[in-house]
Amino acid sequence: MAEHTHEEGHHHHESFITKYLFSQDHKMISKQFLLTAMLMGVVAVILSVLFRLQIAWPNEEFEAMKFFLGDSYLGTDGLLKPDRYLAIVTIHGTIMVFFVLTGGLSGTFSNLLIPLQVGARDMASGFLNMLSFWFFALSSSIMLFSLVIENGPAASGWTVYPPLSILEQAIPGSGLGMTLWLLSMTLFIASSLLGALNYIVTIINLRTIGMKMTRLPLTMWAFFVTAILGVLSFPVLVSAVLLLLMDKTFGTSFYLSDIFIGGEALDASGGSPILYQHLFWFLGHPEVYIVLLPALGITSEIVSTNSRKPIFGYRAMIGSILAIGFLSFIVWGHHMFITGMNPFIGGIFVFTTLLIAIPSAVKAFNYITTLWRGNIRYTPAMLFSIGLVSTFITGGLTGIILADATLDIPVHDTYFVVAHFHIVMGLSAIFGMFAGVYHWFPKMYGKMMNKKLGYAHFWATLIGGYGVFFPMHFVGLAGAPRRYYSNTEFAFLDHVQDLNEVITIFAIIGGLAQLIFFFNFFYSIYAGRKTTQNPWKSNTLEWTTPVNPGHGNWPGDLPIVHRWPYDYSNPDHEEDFVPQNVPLKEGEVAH
Amino acid sequence: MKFLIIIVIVLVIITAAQLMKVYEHSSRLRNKDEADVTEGETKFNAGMLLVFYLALMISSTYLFIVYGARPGLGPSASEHGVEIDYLYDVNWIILIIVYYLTQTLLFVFAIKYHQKKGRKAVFFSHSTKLELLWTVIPAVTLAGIIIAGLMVWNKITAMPENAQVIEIYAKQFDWTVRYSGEDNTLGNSNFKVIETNNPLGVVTSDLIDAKELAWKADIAKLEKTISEEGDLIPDAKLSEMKFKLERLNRQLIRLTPLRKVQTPQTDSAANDDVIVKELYLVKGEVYEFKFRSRDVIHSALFPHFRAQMNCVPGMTTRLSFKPTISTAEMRENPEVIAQYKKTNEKRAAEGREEVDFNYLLLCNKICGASHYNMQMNIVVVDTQAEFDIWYAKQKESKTFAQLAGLLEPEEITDSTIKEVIVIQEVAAD
Repeated sequence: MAEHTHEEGHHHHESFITKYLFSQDHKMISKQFLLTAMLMGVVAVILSVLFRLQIAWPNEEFEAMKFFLGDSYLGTDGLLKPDRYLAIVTIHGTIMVFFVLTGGLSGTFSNLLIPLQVGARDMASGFLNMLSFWFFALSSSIMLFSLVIENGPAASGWTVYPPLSILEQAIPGSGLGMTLWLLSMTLFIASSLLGALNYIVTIINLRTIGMKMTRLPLTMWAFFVTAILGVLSFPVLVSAVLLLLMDKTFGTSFYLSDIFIGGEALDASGGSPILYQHLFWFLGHPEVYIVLLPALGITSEIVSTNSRKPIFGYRAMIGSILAIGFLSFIVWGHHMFITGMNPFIGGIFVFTTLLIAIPSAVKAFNYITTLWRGNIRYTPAMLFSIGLVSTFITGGLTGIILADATLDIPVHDTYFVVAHFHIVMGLSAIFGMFAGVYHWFPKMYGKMMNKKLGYAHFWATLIGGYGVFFPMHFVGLAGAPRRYYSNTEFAFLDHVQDLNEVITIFAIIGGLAQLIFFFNFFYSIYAGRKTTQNPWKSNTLEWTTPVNPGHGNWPGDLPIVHRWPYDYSNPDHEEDFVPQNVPLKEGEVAH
Repeated sequence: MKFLIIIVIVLVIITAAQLMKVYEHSSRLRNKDEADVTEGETKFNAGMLLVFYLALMISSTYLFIVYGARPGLGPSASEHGVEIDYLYDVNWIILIIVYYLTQTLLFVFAIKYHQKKGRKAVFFSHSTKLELLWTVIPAVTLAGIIIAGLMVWNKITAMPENAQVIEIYAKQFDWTVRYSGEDNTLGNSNFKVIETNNPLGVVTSDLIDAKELAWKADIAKLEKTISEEGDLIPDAKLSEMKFKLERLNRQLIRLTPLRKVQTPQTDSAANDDVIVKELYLVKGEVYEFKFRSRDVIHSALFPHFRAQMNCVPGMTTRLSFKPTISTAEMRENPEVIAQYKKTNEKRAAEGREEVDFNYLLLCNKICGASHYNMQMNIVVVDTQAEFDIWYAKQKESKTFAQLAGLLEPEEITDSTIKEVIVIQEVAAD
């Protein structure tokens, strides 16, 4: 590795196109991912506020609907059309789960941090990395484009269960909109696989001298396991998606059987819609951890740095990540307890699913213990990490209800589920992402983000987030199904309609709070305070690079690692941090 | 309008940027490093953490108390539901304790150990004892939760013998109920024979004969038209007709396997089936529901009975429960009375009609535009006698034999109507 050292400033001339568009520098690609994900995030948040307006006040017209969605989404009465309601719910879910929290989170931080934290010049393959982004960009564009086509985008929920997603007779969104969705997802998966393979190879092969696996920061472990999960599970989704596409366009019947619709019996026979669900959730459950683990990894790093303490139980944390990663592959059936699954099989999935609570509990307690007797610096990143631990606990606990098949029956597919997964993989993951942006912004742009705006953003987001999703549990417990255009047809749901209004108000607050972030982000890129080399007094290798590292990251030789990344407040040292490249003192034992 | 909004937004951004510049300049003058957290900021955030923690605890408690575990659903109206509710209560107690405990630890530590001048964090990197503690305690608790959950699960999913068999049939966007009649056996069914008069596609030998005749007539008619007037028909129409002809031929072939499984028993099982649009149940009777779907996946959610099952095209799913509280009794329940009083007051204020408590069946799997209004009324009566009166009335006109009796070969069916239209269009051309 050390042979091809780049001297900073000496590397080949870069034009605008190779520097900003078709860049192979992992740092630029990471920024490209972040900006694309932010754009997608804006769309998804706007959509969510719009459908929240519909749920809270189903009989009222809103200028905002017309402004953002245009007339084609509205009926003659000026209200959102029911099938378009389902369409925006679907696209919100798809964008958030895949484009923001998978592509955005891993794409940004795996790309930025893997080479910097393992001590490599770049990703193993810069070219594949660039392709990964461009597949992502293309797939994002297709998904956005599907919003404006004549019959609207896919509208069968982000899980696109067949037959609804196949039969255009069943819902208009299952026409061209669904085809575009499938196309977009296929490209997305290609992007994700290219990225994940790169991450795995880089972490295994390009670690600098002394960077043993047990000296990797927990961010690296989290990204590593995430990438493995992605490589193992996304291909299954791609096959599920391709079979769906074939059913839709070539008249096969992998997922169709015995269907009578639009006044005629279809020819399809012998397929099973449940097969799709198995394939989908075989990805879908690991996907939850693909979203969550990077956020937890980021949090480990930030909590430790800002508590000025080593992360508590480093090896137990690695063990938990591995255990969660493994278990996530044998729990998918808990999404299907009421599909007519054999109760015995259901029982097995109850068992495996509840096991995940153990490593999750270990992680939560280790974070809490890391705070204990620390010297906590409330940077915006740290606050978001504390928020993450809080939501991780809250959302994790309701998971215990949903994992228990018996308890799942009455709340399956209700707002209880929506509340659960939005807290644990929505809020937690997005908090992790925000924490990461605040923490590594100085590394990305060489500037500091404004702290006061960061505080305002954090508090409004935390309050908005909890205000939306905590009361939502009770809407679900009252029996309110998700994906209902309006609850007015069921008098027994009147009981929780005031909660629905409260939720929407908090959603608007939470949505508007993101404007503070956007302003802070873009303002700071252009006019933020210049940063120092290691602003957070952190141990990991990315802070040993110059403020604005060129392509190749370190101007001279690669750093050599002598210690683990969590030597904070080590009593043997004067300073309260000891970067990984500081040689051991005489007599000091490596951790 | 849009233009105006955009201008306002741009102005707001410019103003904010200017304000930021002023702030940046002043902090630069005070020589502040943006990475350092000042004492004032620490104090503010510690205070906010405390306020937020208290607000979270208080509002959670408020919601737990006011809404509880089953807001607005009343007591479970089924036998197994009581066990589910009990299991819920046990789980909630455990989870709520853990919730308060861990959130408290998190926020207390986060507040208490805020940055202070001269404080050095304690170098405490691991403790096998502690880590074992919070591996073992959750493991033991979860073992309890798993065992309790699986015991109830095995009990409630066991299919009882001698239950009353009822079919619940889902399609976009309504439910249909088929009672199995005196023999407590449902007749065979198949989606290929669905007609306006036979919405569930129930199959009998007679019906197959009728179908065969009807389709053969259709085929003959089409073949005749094609051979006699084929030259005059435009190509598009002609290929459409040929496609229909092929499909009819395919359907005809597919009738054979249906006929093979028909016996006099299955025929009589089908003929006494009663097909209705609401679900009447008797308190204390054990029911086995069989679910089918015609088009997409639906899910039958019975919130008051704590029961739910997906309806999947191409397969039959099953579920059993025993209602224990009749509709009339539920309307007497003080909790329900109080809730509906409140609901009706609100509805009166909004000018909507008043409602009374009813058991309902909802669709709970996204199934299309009117998913949100796919419902059916459920009535639980107190005695068998009440049920018998209602059932006798249904039997007068709604047995399958009566419905299918309308299906004479000459009768115009969906498919013949279409063919007639095609032929007329062709003739008009």
